Amino acid sequence: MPELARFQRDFAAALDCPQPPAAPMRVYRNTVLLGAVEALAANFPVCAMIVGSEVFEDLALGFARTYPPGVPVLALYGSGFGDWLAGQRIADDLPYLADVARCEELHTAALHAADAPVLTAADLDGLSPDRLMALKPRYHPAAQFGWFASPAMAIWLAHQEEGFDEIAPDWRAGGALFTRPVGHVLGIELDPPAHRLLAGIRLGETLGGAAQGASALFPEADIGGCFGRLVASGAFSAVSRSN
Amino acid sequence: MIPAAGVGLKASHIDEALASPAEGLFFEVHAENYMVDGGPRLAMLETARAARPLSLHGVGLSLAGADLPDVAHLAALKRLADRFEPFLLSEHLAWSRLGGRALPDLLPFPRTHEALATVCRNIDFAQSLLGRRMLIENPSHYLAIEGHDWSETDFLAEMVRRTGCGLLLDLNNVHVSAANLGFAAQDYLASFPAAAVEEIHLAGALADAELELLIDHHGAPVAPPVWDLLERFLAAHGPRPALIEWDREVPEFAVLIAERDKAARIIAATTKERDHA
Repeated sequence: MPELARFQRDFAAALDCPQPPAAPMRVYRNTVLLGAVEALAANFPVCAMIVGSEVFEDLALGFARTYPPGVPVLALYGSGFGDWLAGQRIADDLPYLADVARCEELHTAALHAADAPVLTAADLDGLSPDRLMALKPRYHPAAQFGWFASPAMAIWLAHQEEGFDEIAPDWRAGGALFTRPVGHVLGIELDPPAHRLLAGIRLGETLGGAAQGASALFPEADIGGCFGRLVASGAFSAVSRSN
Repeated sequence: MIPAAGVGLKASHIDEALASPAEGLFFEVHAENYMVDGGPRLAMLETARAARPLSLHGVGLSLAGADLPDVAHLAALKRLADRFEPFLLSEHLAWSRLGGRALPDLLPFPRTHEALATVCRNIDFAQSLLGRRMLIENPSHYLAIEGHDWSETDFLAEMVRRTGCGLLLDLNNVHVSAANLGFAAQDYLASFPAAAVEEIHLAGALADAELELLIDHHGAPVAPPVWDLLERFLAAHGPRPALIEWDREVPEFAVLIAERDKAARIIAATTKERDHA
């Protein structure tokens, strides 16, 4: 093995060594861990608000030691933090925390996704009902959604208000949709019919097929209104009229 | 406009930074923070670039790593450089990747003949793929490493000769390394390949009493000895663009721009003196 490669392997091993190292090595160790912890704090601000900065730092250190960054671009670091949190002791006390982290992962993905024009209601004006029902809308690159067994999205939304006191959402499952229609990210709570519509479209259903599926499951729901709200939120990419 | 003195651009400062009338102001950003597919960060950088010259400063190429620079990372850097047309593109004489792992720091290595050959191969590979010259920054040191074949300044000079790269002289790194390793900053600068220097970095350091080390912290005003190094270097070698790096405990824009203005005054005074000479 060349000298330089050997030096680097030994240096990295010294950084990972559990014993507290001598002063100079502590600087490097601190910087390496701090970089990962700061990236997590930036990408999971609601989790940090919920548990407080000291507990968050401990959690972030635990995650960073297990899953150190694989690439130097830290803007997207922390994918999988929610799944990891679900297996930590803190999940016993805060059973919604892992889902809030998963919401924040969706938020980060929406924030940095590619730019693209969104589908607007005007784009659909004048389409015959048949054409509309045969449409296979494509997600906007920034559209990210999920379904959670906890009211994680209600909790996430409450933390976007400045100076909120406390929240006591009903304990029920709910969905989250993040979009980026005009520059900044928009977070929306999804009800079951809206989630069914989006999930159907993800599986390649036509709008008509997804609407039928949603109606069958939720006969009371206003599926047309539901689709209209999804369009207005910027969930879909613009389509050319010839499609 | 000729870029004279710049600031590290922070999103929290963007409106004031765009409105600033400062002559010769340029912006610098860490390239890795903008290696995303789209969204508000890139939109902000578009706006900033439309207003001022931009310098792209990379922290993740790991040029002093035993492996070749990561091609995907280089491609991302090239996309940024091609889109934003920076007037300077810089990286570090350090390593930060090992196998599939990224260590978010700028790590040291013994300056052996083998390391010189590896670093030059990596710079050449990167510059060829980017289609641009890079400036390479002198590191800050905390640890005395054994086994150097080269002094740092000779290593940098030879690197410039072999690859055609330029240099980014970080005067705070010189100040910090001199304090931690016990050498004289002036002696180091006297042997620095000054003709290759195309940018100067200035930043604040933090004295860590517990570790008994000076930390390259980027969270304080530039220290008086670093201003002194700037004045002496410019007096000896002529004006260069200089940048204030302030990355943690970021102050109000007014404080940051005052530091920048001080650098701009020193650069202007040097230019004037040389014009009269």
